[in-house]
Amino acid sequence: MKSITFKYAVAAGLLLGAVLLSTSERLLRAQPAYPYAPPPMMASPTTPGAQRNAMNTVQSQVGWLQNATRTASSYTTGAAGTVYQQFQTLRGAYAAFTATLNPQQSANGANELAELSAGLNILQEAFTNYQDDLANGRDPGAALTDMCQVLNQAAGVWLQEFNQDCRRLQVGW
Amino acid sequence: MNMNNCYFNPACAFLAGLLLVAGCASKEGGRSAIRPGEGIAEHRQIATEAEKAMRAALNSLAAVSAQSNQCAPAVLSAFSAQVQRLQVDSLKLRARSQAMQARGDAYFERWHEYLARVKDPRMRALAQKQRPALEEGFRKVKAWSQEGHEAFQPFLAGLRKVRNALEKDPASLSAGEIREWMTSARANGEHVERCLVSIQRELDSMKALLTLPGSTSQSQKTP
Repeated sequence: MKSITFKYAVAAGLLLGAVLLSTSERLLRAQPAYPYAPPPMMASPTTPGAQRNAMNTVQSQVGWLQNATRTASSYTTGAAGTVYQQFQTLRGAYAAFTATLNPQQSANGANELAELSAGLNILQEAFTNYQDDLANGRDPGAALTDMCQVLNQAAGVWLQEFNQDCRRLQVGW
Repeated sequence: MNMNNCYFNPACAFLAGLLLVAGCASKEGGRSAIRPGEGIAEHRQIATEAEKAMRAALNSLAAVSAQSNQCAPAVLSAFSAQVQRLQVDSLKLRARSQAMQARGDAYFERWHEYLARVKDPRMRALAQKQRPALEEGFRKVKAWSQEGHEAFQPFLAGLRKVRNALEKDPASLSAGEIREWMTSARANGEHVERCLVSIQRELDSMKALLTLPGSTSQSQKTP
């Protein structure tokens, strides 16, 4: 009787061990190869809130750029670089803004968006003109003042267009 | 009908749902009723502004050119200010011109699509009928914009060269090289002006094409 009971106990133990082993193997297999899943593709949200935020960022950045053009003459060094940096930040903010537009807005506003992009390219010409002026021996102070005044006013014109286009495309509605 | 019962009435729930859908639909409709920026009247306006800026810059250049031997500080200062103004006041037109070149036919297609959505069926029919003529007009405007752009770059560069040279030495006005720059800049500037006049004339023709019979082009809002 004892030997029969023992045999059953061994069989049950073996069965339990096999079940545990197979389960643990499955559990081990279930572990991902990496502790963290790769981040998903970061598509910009096209919600009205995201659009408003992106629009406000562009508007603020134009303000920062204009502020930099007004204060540039007070810097002892690196004034043009500071203005350029603010301009590049504006470009980045504008690119981020366009990523928040929905397909309908992008299609409807394709001409306006192309004009705004072209406007930024034209604004950037002020930096090239500044470099040319310096290379041709123009007084650095006069060249800087000239560049800053052009950029300050032109950025204002660009912002007007941007605001008008945002209204037309019902950005953030 | 007891108002309290309304909350549980399926007919009321259906009505509320319908209102919600209608609300969404009206918003969607608003999106499709976008006024595109490529309107003829607006384009005409920015071309006129650019032409004024060109005329002011050319007049200022003529004032410098009229100086004998040495450029007076006030004249030079006014000239420098005009060179700046020109870069700002021409921005909209230059941006539009570049967008037209970059997008090509898609620019016109986008604008014409808008015409097809105008509420007035007579205007829609007219836009459809005049499509070939409008497309031809657009091609001309685009070509003159390109030609104007090509003349504008050396014009602006010439003005800047003259300004820089006179800033360095106001007495250099009589130098042969500066006189040559001024002559060349004037020629390029006048070329730009001619292109702008042609653009305005073509836009006027396009506007006339979209004028409904019995209404003047002034009284009618052109898309």
